[in-house]
Amino acid sequence: MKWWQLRKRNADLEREMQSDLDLEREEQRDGGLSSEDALYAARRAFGNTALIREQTHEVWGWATVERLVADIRYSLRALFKSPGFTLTATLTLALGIGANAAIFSLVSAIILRPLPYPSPAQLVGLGQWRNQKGEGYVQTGVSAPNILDIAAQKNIFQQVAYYRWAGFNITEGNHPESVDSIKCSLDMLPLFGVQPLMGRFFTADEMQPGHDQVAILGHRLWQTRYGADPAILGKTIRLDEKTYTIVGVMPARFRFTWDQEMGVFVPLALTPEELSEKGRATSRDLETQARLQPGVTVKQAQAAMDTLAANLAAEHPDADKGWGFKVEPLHAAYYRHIGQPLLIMSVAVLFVLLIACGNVANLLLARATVRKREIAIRAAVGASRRRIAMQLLTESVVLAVIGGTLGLLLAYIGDRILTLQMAHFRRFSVPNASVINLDWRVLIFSLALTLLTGVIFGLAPALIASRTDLNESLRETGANSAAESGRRRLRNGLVVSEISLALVLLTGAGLLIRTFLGLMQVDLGIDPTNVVTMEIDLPHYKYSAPANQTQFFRQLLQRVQSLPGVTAAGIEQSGSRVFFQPEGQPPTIPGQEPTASLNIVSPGDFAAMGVAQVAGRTLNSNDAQGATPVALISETAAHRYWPNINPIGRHLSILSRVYSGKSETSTQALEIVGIMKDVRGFDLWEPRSDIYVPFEQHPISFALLNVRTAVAPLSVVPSIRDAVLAIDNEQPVNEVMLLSEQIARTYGTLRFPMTLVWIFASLALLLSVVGIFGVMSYTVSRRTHELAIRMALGADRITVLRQILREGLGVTLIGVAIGLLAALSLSRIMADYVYGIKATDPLTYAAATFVLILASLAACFIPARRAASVDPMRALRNE
Amino acid sequence: MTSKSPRSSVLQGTLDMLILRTLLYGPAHGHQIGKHIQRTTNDFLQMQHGSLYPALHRLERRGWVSAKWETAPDRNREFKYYRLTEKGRKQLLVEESQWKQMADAVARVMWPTAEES
Repeated sequence: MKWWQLRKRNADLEREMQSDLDLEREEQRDGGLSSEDALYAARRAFGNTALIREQTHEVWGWATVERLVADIRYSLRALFKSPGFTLTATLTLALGIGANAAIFSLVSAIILRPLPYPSPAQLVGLGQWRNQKGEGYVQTGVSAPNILDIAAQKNIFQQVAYYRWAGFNITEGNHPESVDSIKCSLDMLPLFGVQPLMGRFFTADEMQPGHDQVAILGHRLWQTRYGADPAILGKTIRLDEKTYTIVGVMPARFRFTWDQEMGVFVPLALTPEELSEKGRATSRDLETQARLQPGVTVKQAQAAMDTLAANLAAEHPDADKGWGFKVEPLHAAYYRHIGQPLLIMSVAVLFVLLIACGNVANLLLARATVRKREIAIRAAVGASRRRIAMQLLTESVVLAVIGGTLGLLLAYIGDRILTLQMAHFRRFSVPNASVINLDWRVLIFSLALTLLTGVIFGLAPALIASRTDLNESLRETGANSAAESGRRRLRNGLVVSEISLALVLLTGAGLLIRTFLGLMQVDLGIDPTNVVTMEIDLPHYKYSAPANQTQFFRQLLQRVQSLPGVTAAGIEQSGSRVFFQPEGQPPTIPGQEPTASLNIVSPGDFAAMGVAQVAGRTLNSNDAQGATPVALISETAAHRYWPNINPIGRHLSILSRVYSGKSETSTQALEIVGIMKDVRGFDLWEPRSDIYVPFEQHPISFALLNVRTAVAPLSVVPSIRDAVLAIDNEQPVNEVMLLSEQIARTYGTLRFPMTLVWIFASLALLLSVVGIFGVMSYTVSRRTHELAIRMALGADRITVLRQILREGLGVTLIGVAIGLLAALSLSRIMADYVYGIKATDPLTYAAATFVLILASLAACFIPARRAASVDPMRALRNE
Repeated sequence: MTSKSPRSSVLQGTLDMLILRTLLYGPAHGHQIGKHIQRTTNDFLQMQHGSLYPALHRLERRGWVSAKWETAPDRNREFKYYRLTEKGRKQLLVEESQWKQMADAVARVMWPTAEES
């Protein structure tokens, strides 16, 4: 029997039963009864039609479904009949489910969605690491000779591929444009299991220096710049100073490293030097990815790499000692930084939902009391307890489904906001953040969550409400019966859990806010008001000689400094971490050398950025090529590496770059001539060691130009551009930005997760306060009679007010106690995300507790006042 | 809930068999089956004939009877006639023999002397 036959079947049964009744009635009439009496007699002879109908439906096997449909219909009717309750409950649920769906969209987009390549589980990221004194764990790319060693492990890896970011400018046509570009190895593109849309990938031959002037275009660039020219193959593209022959076009759907749309790929031809033994230590900047052999696990690969690292350390102690390899699933490597914060957010948002469930359960309990009569009547006409409980549970699930649907709407809006916000996170390499949406995973998650929610908040009320004592219910008295006290315990229990969950969230949010405020207070070491910065990148083909580069910047600074409105100007190239050796100190163990950020600056940059001098002298124009090589260090570097010694007048040698492993061109000792105040960069959390050297002694082709003005900073930008063009009429100026804006952005990226947790905590506070308000209001309304008697016997209003408040406070305090314990036990997770305070910061805990107690007392006050204003005479007469 | 008389609860287990046996005489509609059982048991079973329908639909589902709307020979009106299928016939034999064994067993316990003497 199929469900679509049900309707026909039903009509058939009705007709059959009717014909039996008719026949019986005729017979009874023939027996001499009046028409009406015959009808009744026929009905008596036939039996309970409703029951027979139900039993017959049972036989058809669809009774469960039919019951469910009836229950849903009944539920909808009941819900529509009390719109106030329905609205409150669905909105509460919509908030809870919507917030969860939105956060789960993030989880889905970033963690659950597999990489868009065939057999993505085989793809791994490879890196080298070592523990660096003062800097801790340092992870780098892999050096070229090491890659050859790794690729030799044929039983572990199918392919080992590597790339470098290139950053070309297309230098043909009317307007040069920069293009996202990659220099990649032979296996890099085939590694992703794709085929070119047109043409071919690179050949082994093209990986040799001198043969590498071929290019593969990204789909978008091919469309926008070349109008999807079908005859593009064989044509050329000019990138920087070289001309490349186009040999292929990538398909539209291809993304590099998960979600990057690249414009151009060219071969990465390693130089003989990079491949030589010397390159072992100096070319550790190759981003490396590999595909495992089928059946090989990441763990096995890691074990093989550990063995390899041990062997290499023995064979090449100079270069490889102290370095390890790290193998991790490529997908995990992409979301490494965001995994844990995402987990914290998921837990926070789940708490909000649980609190919402508590509130709705309380609403249902209160409603069950109101509906006692209705339920009793249903029981009286023959509905079993099970049947009534099922119907009430159905009602909860229907409620949850309505709430969940609304919630998805909220989640959709939330996803749009998240997408916009996550755009700022690109720099922190949050992958795939551009495609946060309600995909099927989110929909299934939301559906499951909705049904589960309905059962969670509905089960206890349904069980309790269906446990009716007919006599008692129909008499409608007995506020102090056993069932009633059970309900009260449950209600109070729900509020206690809500309050403890809210407290956990409040302390978490409090810690993050304190952290943020702490970071706002951090002395950045610079003065960002009235400073504008911009990038100047001198093309290598034009400024290959270091002297030319230095000459350009020297001229530029002269011109900019003399512009009206400019008070100071400087250039800097900052941020590359280097190993260095303080002279006169015993040589450190390899792998334990001090590290610092190397900043190449012009003398005027300190004035432009507002960095203060602590000791010694600053740089000046005498620190030029040929003069004594000098350096300034930051306070932290001085404390960390020259403890208890005055570093001024001592020397240091820069050994090599940490990430690229490149040796410095001049390894001669630099004399420390001064100490500058600490400057914090993007990493606001920790002071760092800085070394400053003059650009005249360390030529650079790329620099940030920092200009401090006495007028509105942006107003001088046109004249700065003119100054640049006056020196070189082809040189562009990029990324013009106010320093204050740049700092605001850095804070903005920190503020965003804090804001989210804060929103969740506020929701939690609001919901739990509404919860305790509801419960206290209910208690008061149930106890009007008792309170009236007390007052008639002489209790004054203050006593009654105090009694109700005390009751509310009792519930709150139990919740707070449990919440504090829970928050303390969870504080270890938060430890990584707080700054300047401990994760068990007493002030935060005290403040959160105080806010919660105050809010819940305020919520109790309204019902308490209502209780105190009971008119004993009227209340008792109403009985 | 409707309370059941002891007699109707005896009926529960044997109703299927009684229906099948009744249909052995030829096709019949619900009302006829009910009336026939009532008459032949001298109204002992006091069966409300509505209770036949769940049983009839169960038998139809198992394929022991088939049903069809047909015009009654004596009236100008359609009734849903049930008739025994081949499967139903076999089932009747099975139920009958089970019932017999059961009745014999009960009789041996209840009236042992009659059996032994």
